[in-house]
Amino acid sequence: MAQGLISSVFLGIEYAMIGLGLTLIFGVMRVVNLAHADFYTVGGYLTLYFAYFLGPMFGLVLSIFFAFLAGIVIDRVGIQALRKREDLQTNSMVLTLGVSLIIAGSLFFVFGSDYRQVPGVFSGTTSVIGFTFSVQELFALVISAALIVGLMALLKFTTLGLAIRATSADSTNARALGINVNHVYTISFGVGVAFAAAAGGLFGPILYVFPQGGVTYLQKAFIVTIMGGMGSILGALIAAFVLAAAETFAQLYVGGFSYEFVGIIAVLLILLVRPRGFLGEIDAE
Amino acid sequence: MKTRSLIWTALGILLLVVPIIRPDQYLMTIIIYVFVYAILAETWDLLAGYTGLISFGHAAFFGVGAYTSALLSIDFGISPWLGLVLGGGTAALFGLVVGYPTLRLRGPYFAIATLAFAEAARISISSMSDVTGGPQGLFGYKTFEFVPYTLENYYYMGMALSVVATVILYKVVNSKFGLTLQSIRDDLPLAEMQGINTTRYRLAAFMISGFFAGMAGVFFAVFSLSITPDLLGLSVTAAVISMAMIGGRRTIWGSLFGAFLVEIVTEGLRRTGADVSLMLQGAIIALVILVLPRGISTLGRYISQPG
Repeated sequence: MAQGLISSVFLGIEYAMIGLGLTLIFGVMRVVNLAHADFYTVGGYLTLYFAYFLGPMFGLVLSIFFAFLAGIVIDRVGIQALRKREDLQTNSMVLTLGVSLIIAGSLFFVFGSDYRQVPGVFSGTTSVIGFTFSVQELFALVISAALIVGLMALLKFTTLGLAIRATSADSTNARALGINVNHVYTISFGVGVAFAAAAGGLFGPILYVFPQGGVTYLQKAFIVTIMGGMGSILGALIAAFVLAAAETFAQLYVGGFSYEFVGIIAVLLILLVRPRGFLGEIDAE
Repeated sequence: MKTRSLIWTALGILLLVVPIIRPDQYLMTIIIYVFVYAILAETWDLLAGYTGLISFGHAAFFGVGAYTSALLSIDFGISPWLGLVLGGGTAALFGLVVGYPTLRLRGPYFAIATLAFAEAARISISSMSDVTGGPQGLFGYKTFEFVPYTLENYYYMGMALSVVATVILYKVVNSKFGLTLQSIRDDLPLAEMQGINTTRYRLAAFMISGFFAGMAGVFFAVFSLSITPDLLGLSVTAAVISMAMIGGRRTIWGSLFGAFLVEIVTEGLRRTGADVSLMLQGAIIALVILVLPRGISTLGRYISQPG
């Protein structure tokens, strides 16, 4: 039971890191980013790559930075062009599907198809209140929590956060008030994918990465976003831990593949019964 | 119009004589895959291009058809000839089950729901190891009776299937039914006001699409002799979307060219040892949606009427 709860927390914070980025991107931009989880893989591989020269700590920081830059380029070159046409939502899904394949294909081309372990910042284990953790796990947990709190603070207390919230609520009025909406979109996309990359760099040392490994996490990110209400950051955060707990306990007490169903069935039910989720803070339409 | 029928006749004759020239087996296999993928891309286009339903779960039709026929053959000894109809029929029913609840959803909600349904089907098949062979998949089911298993025979069979599907789908989209679908796509509330039962029309499109995609799955299963749950995965859907997109949405026949281009280029590059198929499919999808949103089928028009 206690072991299950602890696993849920670790899994939940990882789901939150990936799901929050997807939620931010959808909530602000109304764009469904099918390449989102590939940035998790990118984060893992870039950390692996940079760690050769600079060590794991700088590798992690650099990989997050490069993911952010890549996000900015994708938004400027790709998504902004689609914004001028009708049907942004489906067109952007098709575009990001292409981006996803390009990323997975490039990683496959450069690194091969093997599972790779990302070098962790810390090694070894430690014992806290009678349970044994790897130090990297605790590090990942603490840094992730700090990043999530940082994101929420940024949204709540800064001018940029205010601009992001205003754009999310009503982009036409935000523009009329003098907010550079296009900048807000670009920053949101960069920050969103940077969170996924951070998750890859932080949790890759524990869970390994491989070029097409993103698919599983894409599912989780979607489930978290939909359960949280398609655009609500707080909703997604709660949903991440609910999903992680449901999966962990289904695996512990029911076994087999059943845990994979938990999230998908939840999503189908929510989509069909309450398409805007349970906590739809920011209107999704 | 005359040049067009000329091109089609030339293409038809070319495809008919390919096995007679006896190219290497690899090329023949690739063209058989083109026939299969062309059907998938056309059926996706029926939904995406004509009905306005961008589905991200299309591979599920393919896999459901393939698994239905293979299981019927293994468990009940039912011929894959009958399997073509039963596999297609099951996929059509699957379309009904998926379509009924999801049609109310708009835009991304619909797309995500179709993806979720396909994933649910894939995980179900993957987890019911006793029945479906689990992740290892199925093999050892029957091949088509009366047609000895040779590349030439399956080439012509695939071609026949592809031609029949293309002609029927082309007729469908240009019929009164197809026009009604397009009017629903363009303005759903208006169509409803005119007394069109939009749900029923769109469900019918779903079932037609599912039927032919499922049939393609049955043929693919028999030809490749083994199947795995990956048939229902997002990578198959991605390949299908890239083909339909480059061929041009709202054309049906464009999908045939799209399937041919994507398959030849990716397989050709794979043969040189550099497996860049994923990267290339991705680049095609991204470039087409950005630069040529209506695909190569409209390229001629761009050239003759610049701007």
